[in-house]
Amino acid sequence: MTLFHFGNCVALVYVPYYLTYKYSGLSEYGAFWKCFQASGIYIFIQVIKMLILATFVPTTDNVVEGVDVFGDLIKLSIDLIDYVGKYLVLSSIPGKGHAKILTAGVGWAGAEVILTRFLDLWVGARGAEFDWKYIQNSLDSNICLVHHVATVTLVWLWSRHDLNQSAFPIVVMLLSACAYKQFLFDFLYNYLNFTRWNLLLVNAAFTSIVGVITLNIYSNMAKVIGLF
Amino acid sequence: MFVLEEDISEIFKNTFTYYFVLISIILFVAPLSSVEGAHEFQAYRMHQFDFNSVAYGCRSASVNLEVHSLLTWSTARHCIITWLLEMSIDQYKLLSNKAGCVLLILPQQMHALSEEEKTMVLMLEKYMMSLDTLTPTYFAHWSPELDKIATDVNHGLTTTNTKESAVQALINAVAGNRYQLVINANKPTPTPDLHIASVYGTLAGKSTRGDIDRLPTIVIVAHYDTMGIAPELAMGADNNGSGLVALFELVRLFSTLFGQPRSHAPYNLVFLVSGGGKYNYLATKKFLDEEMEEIGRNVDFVLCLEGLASSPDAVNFFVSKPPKPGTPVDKFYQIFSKVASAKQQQHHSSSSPSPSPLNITVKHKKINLQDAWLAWEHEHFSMRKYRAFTLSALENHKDIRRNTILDTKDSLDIPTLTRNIEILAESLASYVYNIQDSSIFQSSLKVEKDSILSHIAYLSHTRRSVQLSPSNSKRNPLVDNFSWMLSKYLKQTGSSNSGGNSVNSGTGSVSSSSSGGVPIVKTFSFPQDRREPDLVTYTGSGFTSPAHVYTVKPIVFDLVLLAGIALYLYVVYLVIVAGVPKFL
Repeated sequence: MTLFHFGNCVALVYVPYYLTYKYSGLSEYGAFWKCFQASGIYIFIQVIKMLILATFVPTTDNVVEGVDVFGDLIKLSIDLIDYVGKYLVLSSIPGKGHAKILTAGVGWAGAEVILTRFLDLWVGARGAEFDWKYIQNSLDSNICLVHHVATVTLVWLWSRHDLNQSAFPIVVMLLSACAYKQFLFDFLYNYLNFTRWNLLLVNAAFTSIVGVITLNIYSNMAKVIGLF
Repeated sequence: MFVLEEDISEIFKNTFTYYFVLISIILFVAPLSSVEGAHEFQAYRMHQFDFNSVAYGCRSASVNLEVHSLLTWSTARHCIITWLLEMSIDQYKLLSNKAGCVLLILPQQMHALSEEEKTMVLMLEKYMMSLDTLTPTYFAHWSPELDKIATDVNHGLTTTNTKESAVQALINAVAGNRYQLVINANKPTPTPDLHIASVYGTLAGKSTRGDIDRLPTIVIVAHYDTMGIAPELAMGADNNGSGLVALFELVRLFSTLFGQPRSHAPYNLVFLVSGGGKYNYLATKKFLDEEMEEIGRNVDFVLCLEGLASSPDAVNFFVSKPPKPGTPVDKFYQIFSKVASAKQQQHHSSSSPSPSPLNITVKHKKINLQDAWLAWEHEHFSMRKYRAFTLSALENHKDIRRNTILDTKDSLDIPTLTRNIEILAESLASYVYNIQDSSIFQSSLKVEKDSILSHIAYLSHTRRSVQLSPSNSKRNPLVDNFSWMLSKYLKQTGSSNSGGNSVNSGTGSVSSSSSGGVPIVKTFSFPQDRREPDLVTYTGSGFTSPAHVYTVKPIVFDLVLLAGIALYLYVVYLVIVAGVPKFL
């Protein structure tokens, strides 16, 4: 719409990231370079994903209407590579406990938000046409931050051998739920005619629940191994 | 593993930053893409020209304004979108020169208007045509999206004042949808080197002593250009598509007749397709000045054709001087009436649904030299003492149906046109062969409806307004096409050799396909006088431009949004500060 609107959207997208970086203590660790490394791995993983998508997945342009369940399943399964990437980040960044997980999560989400959102905002939100979708996307990228931090934590938990046996299935379940949540949203959008605002709410609720459960398991774990 | 990671990040650090900077620069420099627009459509600008140093039409083209309705606009910063049928002359009077822009949506089906609506549109069009305004005025074809925008603007905003509560009104004022109309067009500038082109062809008569020049000559004239409030929309199916169709049909029939030695009449026929007809028949005047001598001194009469399908029950002979009995014009009139009544009886006897009775009258109108606009094409000939008249189904020269965008193919009365052409062809044949029997055109040689339809189809899809003629070019593709259509038939009659040669005269260019020295089809075009041009047309972005309507929000909305975002971010800040350090 205007440059002002663009400014609004940018603030909505990036200020929470800055706040997380600043006030969660990452800045005290001097973790900026580590975040940057995490971003580098993010880009590397995205390139690999694109290569796999382009090489092995058939194009679905000819699907006339309705939801292409199989195609979506493959695409979302390829997104599982993200978990490998996150594991890579966790294993290659030195550091202890909380700082390590937060660095990986913020770096990963930060790279995503810069690479996928900024162009969209610059081209769209600055244009003459007003659309709520830029505000919605901005809010969505806030949810992404929580999502990525939560999944990085889950991946970290999954990689621990000293994880409580009873918690292991929950971790795996949450991981797969996070990977395939897009299914749920597509279903709601296509068959129950959810508006984009409602989807955003559902996404927020879903991600907060995952976040809270993850936080619980993590804090138990942290007590056990004496991170406090 | 870690070394690999470092390598990768090194790569990204170096090359990727360069790419990123490059892309950012490109994006900053590149103009905003307008593809994101809510609705894109083609807008047709109102005409613009200077005629005899008087300006007509709208003087500006570029628009970037907020859309309002007829009721809510107040300043020159507002643009009005409404339907053509909702606009009245009084309202347009208020708008012109005060509002920022007017966009009128054409009726969904132009030919399906009621008589009342038609008259209203015609009156409005006539009024608008006489204006000189600074307000860019555009027309657009009906589309569901545009209709919705106009409905939103016209009804959404008017009801807020009366029904809704104060809170709703406030919400609407802050967050309500607004529309912005953007039309990027260059400033109109005078067309450099405007040429008006015309074409004429000769069908030589049978001469026993070899002096073709002395044979009586009949000149048949129809102007090809059109006029309407928007040049791009002025298709002119009846005016003067019908005249052109009649002319081409006569060319076809008489070239066949004259091609046979037995039916070669001792008359020369000259067919003139003239340009600038809507601007005092500029090309006709030029034709008289420069070409008329070539066609011979013995001109029997000049027959101008215009609007032959305007009304089903009348055909009028418009003359500048009442024809005396015994003169060729009177003789032709008598034959025409006779053929027409015979045709009517034929219709009665064949018991087909009989059309309303055809009235053929001679209408006398004196030439008024004081008037800025010449009434009829034949007046140019009458002023030079040629016997001339215009054959037309129009009521009079002030008929508002002469120049309108409603004159499309769909609204053309083809049966009437066919009948009138039949009567015309028969009468002309009776006249040149001097026989009473009016059944010359039968079976294999007759007025073909298919031929008429194909001509109409071509003419009513071709933009023929002089305002759209190419600048800096002596050639006009439209006239080249007419030339080709004429030469297709007229070639056969002359002697065998025919070829194109081009003659450059002092004032303009002339190209002709000649046969045996006498050109058969000749194109002539002439430029406007540099100091005192009769006609100045304008180009820039032409008369059609892509238009965009964007959905926008008021500025207050951005401020409110900023406040909301600030509040949200503060909450996020509190959560992070309060929550996260617990774990660290």
